[in-house]
Amino acid sequence: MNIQYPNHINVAQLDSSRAFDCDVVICGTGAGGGVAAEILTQAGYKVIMLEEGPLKRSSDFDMQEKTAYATLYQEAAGRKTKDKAINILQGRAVGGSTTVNWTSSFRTPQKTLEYWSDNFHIKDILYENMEPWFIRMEQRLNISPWVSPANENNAILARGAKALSLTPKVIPRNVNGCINLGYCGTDCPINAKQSMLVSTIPTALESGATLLSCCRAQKILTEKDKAIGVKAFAINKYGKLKKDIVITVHTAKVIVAGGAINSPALLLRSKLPDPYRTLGKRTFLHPVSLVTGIMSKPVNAFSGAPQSVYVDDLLWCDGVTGKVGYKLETAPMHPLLASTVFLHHGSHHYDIMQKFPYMQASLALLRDGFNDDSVGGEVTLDKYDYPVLDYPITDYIWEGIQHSWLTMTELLFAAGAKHVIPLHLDSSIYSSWNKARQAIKKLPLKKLRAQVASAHVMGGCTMGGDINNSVVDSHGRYHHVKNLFVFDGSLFPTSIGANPQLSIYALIAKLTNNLIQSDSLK
Amino acid sequence: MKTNINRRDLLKWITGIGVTSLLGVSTFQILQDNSISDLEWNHEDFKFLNDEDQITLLVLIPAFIYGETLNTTRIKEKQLINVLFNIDFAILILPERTQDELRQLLNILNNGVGRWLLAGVWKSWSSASAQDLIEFLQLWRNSLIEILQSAYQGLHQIIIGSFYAEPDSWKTIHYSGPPDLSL
Repeated sequence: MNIQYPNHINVAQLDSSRAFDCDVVICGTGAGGGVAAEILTQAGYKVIMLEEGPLKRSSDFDMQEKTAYATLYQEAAGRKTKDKAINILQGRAVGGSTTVNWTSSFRTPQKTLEYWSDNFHIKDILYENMEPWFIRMEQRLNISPWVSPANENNAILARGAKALSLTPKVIPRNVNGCINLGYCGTDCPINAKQSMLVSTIPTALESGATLLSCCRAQKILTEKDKAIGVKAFAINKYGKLKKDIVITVHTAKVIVAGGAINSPALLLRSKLPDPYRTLGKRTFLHPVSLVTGIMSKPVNAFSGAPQSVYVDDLLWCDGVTGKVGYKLETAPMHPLLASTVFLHHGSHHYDIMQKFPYMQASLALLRDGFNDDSVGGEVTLDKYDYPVLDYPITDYIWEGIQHSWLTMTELLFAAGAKHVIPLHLDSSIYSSWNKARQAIKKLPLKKLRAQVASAHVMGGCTMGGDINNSVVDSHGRYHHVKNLFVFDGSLFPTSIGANPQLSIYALIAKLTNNLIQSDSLK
Repeated sequence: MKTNINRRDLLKWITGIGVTSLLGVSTFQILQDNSISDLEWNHEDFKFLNDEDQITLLVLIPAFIYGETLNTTRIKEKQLINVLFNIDFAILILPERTQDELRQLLNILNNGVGRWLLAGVWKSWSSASAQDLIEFLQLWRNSLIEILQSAYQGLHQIIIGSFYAEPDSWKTIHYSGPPDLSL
């Protein structure tokens, strides 16, 4: 099925600067921007979407990591924290991270929403307030628990969990007509994944919205205390600004939806008032620890739905504000990504790669931000005005990482793994749980020795009722500038405790509706 | 040792004979002494990597991927050049801040004094034996100096990732590639 993208302009191909007028400009087309664009356009607003990434469609998608990481990810899938201790996977394309994510779609946990309500005084954020929006977006994006049998990578997680008396559950996915290829992370070549790229964005465009791709919002234009537009630049195929092609959008409202890291960066570049110095702070990552098992039969972890099983028994086990909890899931293994996570070289690396088809990959996604010892990281700008995230890994997080290595190692041995390798530069290839347990407890809890990753960047534009510890109010309105909104995952005051896409879809659907209602009352 | 050798021959040497056989032969110096115009690949097609970077990486790629097993596995010339191009393209996409850091790192690796101070390889890359190269990588990997650890990890990601990105590399790991949807 060919999807049409009318009213699309590839700004990289323009040979002169242009100016546009609209009711609302949306900077970013990921989970937040995509949802807002559809709802606003259908309510009659004239919408312009700006997206720094390219418009790539299913016919462009070849399931090759090499192409996908270079064209669809931030920094060629190699974005890192300031000290380079955490590797961040984040999308950079029309559809944002929803174009390349692994389709796991969870409602925001009730405990997370309660924490936000109690500690950040966000209005109408409890589960009963959010539930209708979860239902609405689940229907819109065809989200339901995966009905096909789990692939072997996920089946191993389920078997191991049961052996440890944990409770594996089935992951809901946003797919329609999925044929279990397993290449969600490089693209969906058959438009089965209900990303923003194939759902809300084409609908918005058909209803009259305009999409400017390869166009980075550089600065929000203000007049007195009001946002009046956005200045953007074309970007070239290497992701660098083409400063001779300027796009100026004059508008009544500006919605910032570039995702965590890029949204606070745009606001910082715009030098807006930030009297309480809250902008860019409280950026969370769901730090991920990884353990691989070498199984006796082929796992082929590159094939089949990448994530279909999860385990939540350890997510809240010490209470909401106690020791850091984590969610267990799997990671698909494709050659490029798999080869780079084994930080060895020469024959040792070569020998590990020989086991590629036999590899199982388990991950623990740590719930950061619910404790005073976990206040997240801070986004600032480098000398090129490009964002950099400083995220120190605290002892509180390290304790959880070590605990998760032990759990996943025990789980993989219980599921029949011959060998288990926690991803740490000083770990060995362990062949029994007893030996592994002793050794893992001695692994140094140090950055650049332990390998930590992230695929979920959240926060940096904290939403809240108190002006002194938040950036936007309960409606997503920037505290200190009128007509300026933040509508994406950077609103979250903590991490979610689950893959965040449905949390973003639902919250932004709710906030967009609020915006329309408050306009109609004027 | 002076020989009339061009880059084409160097490439043949690395790919055909293996790093171990380069022991005692300073190919890097030979290259510096001789014309580099006779190239099998067009070095001007590279936008970030300069001539020196290309030589440094040509030696480091097999060390990272195969190490001492290179003699038995043999790396194909085409593969090596593809990896170089992948590395060049990947760096171009990185933010300017990261490009600056990689420029500094490559300059240090290309420079004799820097190499001696930081890598313990005192002559030149191509005069190093496979064992020297493995030891250098091991030294950086396990260094107490954080910047060397992260330099190792940066080189690792960019070199090993660029190699396993290529379908030519998949046979050895028993991966048949993405499914064919044209059926």
